[in-house]
Amino acid sequence: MSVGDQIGARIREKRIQLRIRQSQLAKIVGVSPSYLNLIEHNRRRIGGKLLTDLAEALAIDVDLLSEDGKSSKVARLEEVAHYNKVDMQAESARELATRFPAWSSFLIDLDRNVRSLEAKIDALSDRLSHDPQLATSLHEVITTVTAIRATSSILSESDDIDPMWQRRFQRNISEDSLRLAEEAQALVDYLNADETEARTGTPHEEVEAFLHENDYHFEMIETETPDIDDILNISAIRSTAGRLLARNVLETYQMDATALPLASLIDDLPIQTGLSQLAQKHRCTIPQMMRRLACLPTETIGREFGMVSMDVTGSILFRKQIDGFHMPRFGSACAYWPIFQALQMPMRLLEDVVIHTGREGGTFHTYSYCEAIQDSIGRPPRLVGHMLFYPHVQEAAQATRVGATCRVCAIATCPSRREPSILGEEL
Amino acid sequence: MAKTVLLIEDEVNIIEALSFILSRDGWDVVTHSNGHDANEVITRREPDLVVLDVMLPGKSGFDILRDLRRDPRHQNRPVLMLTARGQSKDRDMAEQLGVSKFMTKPFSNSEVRNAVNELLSG
Repeated sequence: MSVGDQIGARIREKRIQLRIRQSQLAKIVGVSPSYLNLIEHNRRRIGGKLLTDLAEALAIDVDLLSEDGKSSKVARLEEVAHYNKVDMQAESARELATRFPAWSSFLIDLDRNVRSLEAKIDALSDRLSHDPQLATSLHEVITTVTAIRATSSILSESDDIDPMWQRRFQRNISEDSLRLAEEAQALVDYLNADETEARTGTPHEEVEAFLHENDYHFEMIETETPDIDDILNISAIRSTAGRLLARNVLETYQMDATALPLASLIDDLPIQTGLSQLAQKHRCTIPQMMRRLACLPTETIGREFGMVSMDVTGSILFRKQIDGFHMPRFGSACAYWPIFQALQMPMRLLEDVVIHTGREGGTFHTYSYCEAIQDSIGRPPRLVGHMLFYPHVQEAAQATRVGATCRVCAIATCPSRREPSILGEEL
Repeated sequence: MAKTVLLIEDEVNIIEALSFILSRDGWDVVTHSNGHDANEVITRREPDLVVLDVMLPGKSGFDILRDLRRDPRHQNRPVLMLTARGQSKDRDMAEQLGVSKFMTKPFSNSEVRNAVNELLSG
């Protein structure tokens, strides 16, 4: 059977969709995880029995893994159906793609647009609720409008105002209207920022975009001890605050990489044992092990990890998202995330399974831990919580249902709901 | 003797406009523009009504109100709270803290005048 260059990517996509670990799939089809990793990254050509076995293990028609456009369209239609929770058989997707190719393309494009808009709603909702810059800007606008309204009412509703007061109020309105124009323009510029700017609007977002571009992994730091400024200078981070935050992240990364070099983890790959045993074995702290696992390439450690760190106020200090586990940027996260339990029980490692109820959600295995950092003598320790998570493959007997944040959560009956959701009903 | 209204607000032009309309209604208006020492000013002035902004430099209107209600001398002193933050959680918090009336910006002059009249004639 002839094979194309993107088969590996399709295998990987399907495997992740089914939440099967790379090592599991490798075992099923009888190859090593590293060989499957090469296949998934299109570095090894594949065909014959192995392709058939993989298609069977992934419960997918072998043709759908091939290169032709029609099959690719069928796969996309299946994905559309899966995403929208429509029970569609593979055959009907194929029939749709064959008989109505234009409608199929339209459906696929529509789905792509819907997902893109949903992502924007999440981001904007998050921003409207919690972005301090936007909140301050809106407050300034409303305050200025109030001043203009109060002053202009006096002028328009009173005929007997002393000329001195009249001139004073006219001057105030003139000043305030100028101020309002500037504030409104600044607000419009802020809201009109294009997608890239919106993503990098605040220093935290700027740093996150930088980490995302690097897939949270810095090969240079793994292999040598570079000057952090050299890394920052070639990054797109422009704000002073963003550079400061990124420096903190990279310095912590450097310390973690020194304490726990990648080479020392090789024997444990792909990661199979529990977090606590792993940290004990390598004589490192649990947060160090969490950060290392979250920042090493998925293909190296055989599993994709997400992570969030926050202080006791709930402010998110670090966030690495993975598919299905959406997190807000500006705090106000779901009260049922296990990290909040951990923050109440410092130095205890908690292990839980949660079901994220977001539209693209899923089941996740989580480790949560709160460290107490003694910055200086005489002051209470600073508590920082960490939660590491990855897709949970096995059946979960008991799992807590969680969301991202109330505003975009569809669990209508949640007793911890802080505000109404913009989603009408549970999806 | 005219009753005293203490207006605690940091926006100068709002202070001028509100002072003007309330003075014209016959109230004795005194103003203060930061939150830091607002509670001391209230204790010293003993106004018949406090008109309090929420977002103030030094100390928020919520904190000022909370401290006010903890002080037996001010537990029943009428407080009209003005805020640009009109979310229900802010209103709920103000009510829990014991606000007499809560008003969101931008308000009309007649709304403020009516509220002041109502609170001072009670």
